[in-house]
Amino acid sequence: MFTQLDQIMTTMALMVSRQLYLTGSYSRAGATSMDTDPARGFEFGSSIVIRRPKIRGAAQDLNPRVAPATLNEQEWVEVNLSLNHAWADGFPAFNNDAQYATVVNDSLMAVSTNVGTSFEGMFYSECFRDYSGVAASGAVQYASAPPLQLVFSENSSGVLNAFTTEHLARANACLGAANVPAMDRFAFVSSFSAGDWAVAAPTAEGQSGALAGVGNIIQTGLQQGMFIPRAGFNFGVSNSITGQAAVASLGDGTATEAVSAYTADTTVFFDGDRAGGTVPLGAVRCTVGVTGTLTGLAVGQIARLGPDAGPATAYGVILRVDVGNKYVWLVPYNSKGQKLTAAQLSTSTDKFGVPAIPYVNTAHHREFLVYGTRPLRQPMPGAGGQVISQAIPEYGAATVNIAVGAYNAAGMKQDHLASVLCGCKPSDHRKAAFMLSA
Amino acid sequence: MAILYNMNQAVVVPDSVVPLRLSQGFTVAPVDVVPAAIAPETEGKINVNTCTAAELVALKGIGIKAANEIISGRPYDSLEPFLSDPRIAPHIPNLTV
Repeated sequence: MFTQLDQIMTTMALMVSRQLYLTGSYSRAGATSMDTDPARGFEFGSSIVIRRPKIRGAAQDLNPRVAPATLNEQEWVEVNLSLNHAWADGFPAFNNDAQYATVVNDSLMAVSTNVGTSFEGMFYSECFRDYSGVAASGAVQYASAPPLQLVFSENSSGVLNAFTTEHLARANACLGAANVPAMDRFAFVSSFSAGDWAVAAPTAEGQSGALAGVGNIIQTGLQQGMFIPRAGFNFGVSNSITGQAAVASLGDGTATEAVSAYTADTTVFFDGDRAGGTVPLGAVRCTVGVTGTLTGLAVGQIARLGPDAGPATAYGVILRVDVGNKYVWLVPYNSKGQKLTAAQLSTSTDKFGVPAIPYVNTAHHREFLVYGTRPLRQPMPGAGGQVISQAIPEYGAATVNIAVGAYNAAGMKQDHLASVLCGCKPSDHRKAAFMLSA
Repeated sequence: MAILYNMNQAVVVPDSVVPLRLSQGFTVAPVDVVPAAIAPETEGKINVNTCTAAELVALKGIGIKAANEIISGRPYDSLEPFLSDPRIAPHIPNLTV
């Protein structure tokens, strides 16, 4: 019989927390969940509002002899996070196992990986690929939403290249260009990738390129361009969006269509991070020259603008579709992640299409994700169970609950369960970039 | 992933978010933006296999969520599945398959 149950539970919590930490999450929203009073803890379905300051622009070049400084009142972007997932995994260990401690120890990493990868699936799908929160009509202040910026690499025939260090360099430049306060930024690949990258080591499932020890990460933070070691990096097709399937016909049987007009959008999509909310986001309205009805398009698809048999001029995430007028709104980015204007797109050469994209990886700052957790209520005295709620500041202050109980006299078993209550929401679309690859 | 419709605009939605979006008024099929003006009592029965969400929503007690459930469950061989649903059962005389 293993006698150090508390130690096992704490180890399990540490492992789960580490897995979440490696996901690149942070828990700014979860600060109050550290309260030990369960009445003040978060419940499933709770919502948390976080706010972050908008861009303030350049500081004034003040001449104190001439005029006083004009101070601007701060404005905020509000991020509403719902705790709508409670990931849990566990295992039974039987008291008549001769090597009880071995069974428990062998299962710890599996449990932590399972919780972590389930979390990742939600993270990728809901933080990066869910554009359903973008309003279907009216003006949009785009701020706390999935990313728009992207980088890609195509060969001379217009076919996406496999993942290379070029993607990483471009994505890092993209993130670096965002005018946001310096945080412990890092790029993190979240999805499968094919090809050689980072340290030119073949990777099958997005493994780390440059291994950084966890202890080192805690002490120094992860440097830009470094990648974190992963365990069990595995997105299932069923619960997340990884790549993208092509749209074979946009209405008249062809996959790409000429665009009759590229028009700068100044009335629909605005930069939600700019005080006043009147600065256009940089979206371009494409008038697709399809014969008949425009079909097959959906918000959230990644469209390609460019010649059929040559390198693309731009890619962009579709933000709105007007079937009646054959309009599609997107923010176009070139291969280096630079935002293009309508004038930089050519109606004579840049055709519109939604191609197959095998892999859509992400690079993002760590604060892109927020989640909150809470401790579990202790079981009633004499119930035969124990609960440890382990909050680990080094791992983003996640609270992982480990419960042992449900003692079954007939089977002589004890169930071990790890759970984490969480939600995720992108807090700033500029802090992430897609990397499109084959 | 799934394709849902937000005010008739197709949107790619991760599977884990689908229930949330449906509860927020997204639909699994395009909705006729003009509400059904035809009263079922006078113009015949509504075919649950072919009707639009708007036709169902026009019936008292059936909201977007129930209409989505009906459309998601197609095809139907009979109206028996609706007998136990308090939202739909009162309208069975006006429904057909």
